[in-house]
Amino acid sequence: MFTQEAGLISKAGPTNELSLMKCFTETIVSSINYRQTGEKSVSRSEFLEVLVRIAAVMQATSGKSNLGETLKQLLRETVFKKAKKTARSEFLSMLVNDAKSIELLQKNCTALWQAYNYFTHDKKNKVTLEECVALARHCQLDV
Amino acid sequence: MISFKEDTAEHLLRCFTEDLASTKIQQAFRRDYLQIKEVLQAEYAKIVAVFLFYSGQSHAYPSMAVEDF
Repeated sequence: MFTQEAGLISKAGPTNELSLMKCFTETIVSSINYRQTGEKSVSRSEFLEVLVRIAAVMQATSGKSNLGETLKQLLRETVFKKAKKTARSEFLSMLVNDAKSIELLQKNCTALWQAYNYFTHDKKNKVTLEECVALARHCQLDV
Repeated sequence: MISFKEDTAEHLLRCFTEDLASTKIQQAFRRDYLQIKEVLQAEYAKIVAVFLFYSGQSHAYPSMAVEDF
């Protein structure tokens, strides 16, 4: 998903599927001490490491001596141009500055907590997308 | 009480410092570490935005599963 959409996979180039997977696995193995389960996934900090490892693979075949420059190039010319991203900071900024939304949330705080508590318990602290959709439909919202 | 806070530069720097400290980048890339750190720090907010998109779609959220990588 990420590597495909970011245009990182090149069949003939240095960043083929195998080498990208190697970067992913090496990162997981390097932080094995922090891992609670055997799940194959990377956290936010590990994602930074994966990107650096991909840049190192690219640097090794490009002959450039500066890994920092290769990383900058990888991020600016490939990842940020093609990969999808959330607009979290813009959304947060809008929310912080939107007094009406805050007021509305504040006013309905109890009901919102009740809805959250309905879907969660001690061992489940998240509401899934499907549950959100079901709740919205229950409220007769068109989703 | 509901309150939202924007991602300030200070907050991002604190997150970046903690993230970097929990990786093995310094050990694995000792020679280029300072340059790498500089680049990652400059682009941190955008990297997080990319990570959040793919981890948000992942069954392993808040992490990014191998299937989503």
